[in-house]
Amino acid sequence: MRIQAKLITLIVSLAVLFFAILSLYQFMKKRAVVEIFKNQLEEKKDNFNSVVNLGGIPLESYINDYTGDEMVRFLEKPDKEWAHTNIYAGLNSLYLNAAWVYSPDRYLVYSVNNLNDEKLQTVPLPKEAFDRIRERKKFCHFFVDTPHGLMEICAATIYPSSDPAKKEQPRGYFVAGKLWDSAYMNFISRLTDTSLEIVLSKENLPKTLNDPEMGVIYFLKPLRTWNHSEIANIKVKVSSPTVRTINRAIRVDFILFLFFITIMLGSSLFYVAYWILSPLFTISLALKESAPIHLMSLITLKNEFGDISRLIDDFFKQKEEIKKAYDELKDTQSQLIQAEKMKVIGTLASGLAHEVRNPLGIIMLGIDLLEQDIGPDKVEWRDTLSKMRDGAERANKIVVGMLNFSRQSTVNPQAVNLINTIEKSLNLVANKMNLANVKIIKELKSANPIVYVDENQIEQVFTNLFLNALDAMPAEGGTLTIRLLNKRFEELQNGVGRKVTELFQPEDAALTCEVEDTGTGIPPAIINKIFDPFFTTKPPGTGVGLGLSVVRKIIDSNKGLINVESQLGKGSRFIITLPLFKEEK
Amino acid sequence: MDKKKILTIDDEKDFTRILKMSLEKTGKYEVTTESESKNAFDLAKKLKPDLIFLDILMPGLNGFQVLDLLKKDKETVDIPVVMLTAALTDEIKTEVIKHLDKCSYMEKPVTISMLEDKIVKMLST
Repeated sequence: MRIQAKLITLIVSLAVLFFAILSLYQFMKKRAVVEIFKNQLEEKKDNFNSVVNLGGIPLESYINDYTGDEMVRFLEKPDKEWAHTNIYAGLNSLYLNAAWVYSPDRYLVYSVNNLNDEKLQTVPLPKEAFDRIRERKKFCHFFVDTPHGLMEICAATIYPSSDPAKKEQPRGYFVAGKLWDSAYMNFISRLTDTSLEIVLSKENLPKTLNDPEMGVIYFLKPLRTWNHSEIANIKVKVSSPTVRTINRAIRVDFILFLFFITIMLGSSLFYVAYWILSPLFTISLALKESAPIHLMSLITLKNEFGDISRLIDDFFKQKEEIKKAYDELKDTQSQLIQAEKMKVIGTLASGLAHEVRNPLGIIMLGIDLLEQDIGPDKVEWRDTLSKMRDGAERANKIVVGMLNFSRQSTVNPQAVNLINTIEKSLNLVANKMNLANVKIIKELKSANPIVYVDENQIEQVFTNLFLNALDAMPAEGGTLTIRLLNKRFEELQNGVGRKVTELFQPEDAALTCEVEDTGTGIPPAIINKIFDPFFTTKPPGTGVGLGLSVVRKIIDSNKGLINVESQLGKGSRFIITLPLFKEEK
Repeated sequence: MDKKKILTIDDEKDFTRILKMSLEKTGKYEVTTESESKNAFDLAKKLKPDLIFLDILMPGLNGFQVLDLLKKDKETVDIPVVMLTAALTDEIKTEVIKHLDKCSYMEKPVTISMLEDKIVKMLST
């Protein structure tokens, strides 16, 4: 896994961890809030119930007023006048709506209401309800449904004060009712700081009405009939500013934490990218491309990346030095090998020349002698002798070639006009060139053609090169171009086995001569071997393979460079660089 | 016309024998051959030849040492000498160039006509 990926994974993991911690913290807080909420819910319920009970007190005191001796007397002798001034007046002053008086055998004795409703002449209760009222020693509270809405009913039995324990039969029943109309609902609502709604059926209500998040509390207050069954519910909605405040605080906390974490992780991501990944990328690029130049911006740093960059830079410098040393060693080695080869060939050549040319001398003189003795009629003998002479001459030519090759180390350099030398060599081969239909193009207008070389040797170089070019030309002929160019040090090209810097100084100028043919070209596989002694592509008997090795040796001895460029089927170009003549020499 | 006396000093006896036969066959020369370089100087003094062919690489005294002896003695100093060599290496060439005022040189192998040309040229000067 790349460091980049690892670091990003680390940061992402940290982000996830932080987020998890934050979520856990949120969860805990919310649980606490729910706890607070629940407490508040109970508190509000109690509060609401107390208020509702409080609202029921006038009803109870009203009932209390009219279940004593006065009512016993009224039941014994009903006085409408009295009932109107007492019961009816009390009803209005206490904001109640209806009152009924029943005899012990549950016949209506007196009924009054301020709703002008005929239907409320009798109490909207079945007879059995009176049993329940009787069972209760004190008040009996419940709700009934009326055309005007829900009505809270309070009822009690009527006893004389002489029977405080209510052991005898009751003398009657007193029932009073109060409508839960919108005015009363508003009153309770205001008193309890709630909003109320009467719900007749619970089926349409959602399961949980509470919304702890918004601090809204709902609860249902059931309203029951005389036999305790639910007739309706009041949906109570209470707002809890405490819960809302706490919730808002938690939300603010969350946003602040999130902001903080984002800033923290974002800045660490930036830090990782800018201070770690960017230098790592630079170092990796420098190593990949082997280009310490990329490290320039890091090398001056005083941190670990600076240390690493300096080490890498040193490493590259050392590598460069080692490579240079290795190249020099290789050059020296190949030069030594070359020199040793030349020495061996030289020794071999002189030995061979002595051992071969002496017998050749005998053979050739002998042939001459025999030829003189043989009469002109002996044609076959003369032919044989002629062939023997050819053979001996061929053998001699090979030895001469080797001898020449071994002989080129002694140089007598002088100021030479290279144009003249080239012209001399061209004269030697001009006839052959003509016969082979080779066109010669001379581009010899050099600004300074005076070089410091051994003229005879350089003439041999050109002769060899021209003859090679001639041999390379196709049967239909071709073009030989000879081009002289004065070149500055930095324009010079390394030669075979020799570098420009070995022979020339930056202030030196040189003369370059290009010999270009339109011949068959040199296959790439052998182009490195053509300057080796005895390497030849000519058929046996036509060459020994010393021509180009002699050329190279002469150029080497004359402190020059030789190089070759070739394209198969198009031709070859030999490039010779020679030192210019300097007055102080 | 007197036959010209030619002395050939070369350790290659076969070569000198054929050279002698070839030159004498022309009827113009009388050739004496010697294969021992140490005898060369005395023989030259005794014979007083018109021209000497002198091989360079010989056992014992080499051609240049013999040449030095010949050129130091006033009896032989005027005899023209043609140095013959099969291997004109750098060292030999340097030596030859050094002695060019006292001798001429030829590279083996040689033909009869080359020899005759050389003799004529050397004797005419």
